[in-house]
This record gives sequence, C-alpha cells and structure tokens, in this order.
Amino acid sequence: MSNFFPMPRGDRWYILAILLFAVVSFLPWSHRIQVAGMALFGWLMAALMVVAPVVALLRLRERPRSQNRQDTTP
Amino acid sequence: MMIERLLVILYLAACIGIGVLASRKVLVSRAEYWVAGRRIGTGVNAMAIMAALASGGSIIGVMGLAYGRGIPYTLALFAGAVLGFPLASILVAKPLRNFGQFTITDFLAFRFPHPIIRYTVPSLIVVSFTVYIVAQMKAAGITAEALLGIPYTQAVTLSALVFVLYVSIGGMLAVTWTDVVQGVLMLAVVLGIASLIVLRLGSPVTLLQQATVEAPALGDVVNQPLSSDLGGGHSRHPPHRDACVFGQRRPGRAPVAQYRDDGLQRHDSGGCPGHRADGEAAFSGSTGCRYRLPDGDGAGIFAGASGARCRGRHRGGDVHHRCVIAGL
Repeated sequence: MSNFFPMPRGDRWYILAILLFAVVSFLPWSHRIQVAGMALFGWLMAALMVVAPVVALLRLRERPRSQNRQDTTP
Repeated sequence: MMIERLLVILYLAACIGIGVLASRKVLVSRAEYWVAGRRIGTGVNAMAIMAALASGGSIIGVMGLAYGRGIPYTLALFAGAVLGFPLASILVAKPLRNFGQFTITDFLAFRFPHPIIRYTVPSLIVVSFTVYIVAQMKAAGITAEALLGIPYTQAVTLSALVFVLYVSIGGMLAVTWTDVVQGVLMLAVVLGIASLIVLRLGSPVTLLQQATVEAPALGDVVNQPLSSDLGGGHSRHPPHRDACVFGQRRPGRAPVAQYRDDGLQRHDSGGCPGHRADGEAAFSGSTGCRYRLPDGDGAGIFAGASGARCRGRHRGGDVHHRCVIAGL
C-alpha cells in the first residue's frame, strides 16, 4: 500500500536509522558488556534518548520555515 | 507543614487564575480553545510537552522502577517515550497540521470514513487516558498525603477539581501556561537536586559506579519476558515474597547460598553450579525452581556481595524468580 502522504527522504532515513539502532541495541550482545557498572544496553538507550530528538530538532531547523509548515514533495 | 500547605494553595490558586485569564482569550472560537489559535511557539510548546510527559510516574515512579527493574530497563522505557515525539512529529503531527483538524479522530475519520472509526477511536483514547489520569491523580494524592498531611481521598478530589476547572475553562492555552509553570518548577527541583548530588559525590559516572558496586543488579538488564508486566506482572500465580541469604564466599569457590520460600521451607542451593567474579550465581534444580545467569536463557538473578540479603518476587509461577538487592 502506498503512503498516503508524502514523506521527505530525510524523514525516511531518520526513521530507518532509529529502527536499526533499536534492533541492534536490543540484541543480547549489548546486555553482556558492562561499562561503568551498567550494561551497554543502558548506555545505548541513554544515547538514543538524547541523540534522536537532537537530530530531529537540528533537521527541523535546517529546513525553511515554509517547508516545516507545508507538506513536502515525496 | 504550614509553609508547604500555603505554597500548594498558592500553586492551585495560580492554576485556577491562569485558567480564568486564558478563558477570556480562548472562548471566542474553537481554534482558540482547542489549539490556542495555533500561535504557541516552539520553545513554549516544548516546555509544555516536557511538563506533560514528566508526570507523576516520571518524578515519583522512576526511582522504584529503577530499583526494581534496574537502570537499563528504566532508560529503555524512557528512551521509548522520548523517541515517540520525533516519530510523532513526522508521522502524525505534520499530516494532522496539513489536514487542518484538531484531533486524531477527525483525521482517521477522514482517512477511513466509517462510523466504527468515528466511535471506536475516541472511546479508545478516553479509556487509555482515563487510566493515565488515574495514575497522575494517585501520584498527586500520595504526594499531598505525605507532604501536607491531608487525607488521600481529599487530596485526589481537590487536585482533580482544580485540574478539571482550569482545563475546561481555559482550553489549550491554560494547559500550556500551567504546563510551563510546572515544567520550570520540575526542572529547577530535579536539576537542582541532581547538581547537589553530583557536586557532593563526583561525576554522574562515579555515582553510577558506586551504586552498581553496592547493588550490581541495578546495572543489569532485567531478563524477563514482556508478558511479565501484564496483569500486574503475575500472570499465573499470586505474588509472594521469596528471600535468599548469601553466606560467606571463599576465594575460588562458589558462594554458599540458600533460597527460602516465605512461610514454606528453607532450601540449600547445594552449592552454586556456576558463579562469576561479580558474585552472580546460578542455582538450579534443587529447589524446584530454576535460576540462571543473565547471559543464559533464564530469568533468575541473585546478585550481591557476600552476606548480602536480597529479596525476590515470585514471577510467573515455578520458573521465573528475580532477586532484587535490598537493604544493603
């Protein structure tokens, strides 16, 4: 089924990157490695919590204001 | 106690006052009432969303969650919540804004024009948000009871009345303004306390290291099935308390440990079949339950220094046990 609203390519890559990060983070390898007393999984989640919104905000700032308000071309 | 009560009364009065002030502006049109005329700026909106997200669960419940489930589990939960916002900004906010409507129901009813959507979606939203609001009301009641010494029921009723009053008369503008006030207060308190703790104890990493040395389970990933959280976390059997006591650990030997079912009988582990340098041990067989290492395929983790007492909660019958360090 085709997407019923156009999504900029950057948004698609952003969502894909987050999905990949989540899948890789949740695999068991990150549970075993400990950094400063905490499993690497926890550090990855902490990083995701900070990086994901910061990147989204930076991308938002880079766009012209009119483009943020209007739909964009696919 | 009087000062605390006075501050709370002032705060509640300020919320109602904001609602009254906002009502003068928003009662002129639907757009003003529901979306504050779409004039709320990014910074103010961000602060309001933060205050809405950082609810009773975030401020009060997170400590218990981290203590019971470990810090990685808690971070994963909050990462999911934070991540939801950029995803929603792409997948939900933009189409909704371009569509020019106010609610998810309006949008879905347009996209899927069927009466089932028109009635089902708002029903789901009302049910889910009612559950969410109940948690917030409970947090408000517990806090007021502990801080102000007023009965729980009265505290919940009073806070509910104030919330409903300023939201209903002031619309989105009142919600945003009060959220901004709450956000500033929360940031000041949380960051202030965190700064004081870090200044006293060192860097956050040092703090984490100290905490996980005292209680290694804090840094571990909880190895439980997702279904263990459903139905209050006890899917098959009613909860009961277990307890375990670690004996002295000799160099090069597995820790001597005992496992006790509350009110039943004390079992000897028969010597742990496996242990690691950090004191984690694997029990198996003799108690009728299975305890495995976190990097194995099971759920039971008994962790602690020699002599440490820990308690576990029975989860999911005779298979899953989890031991949480307590009272170290």
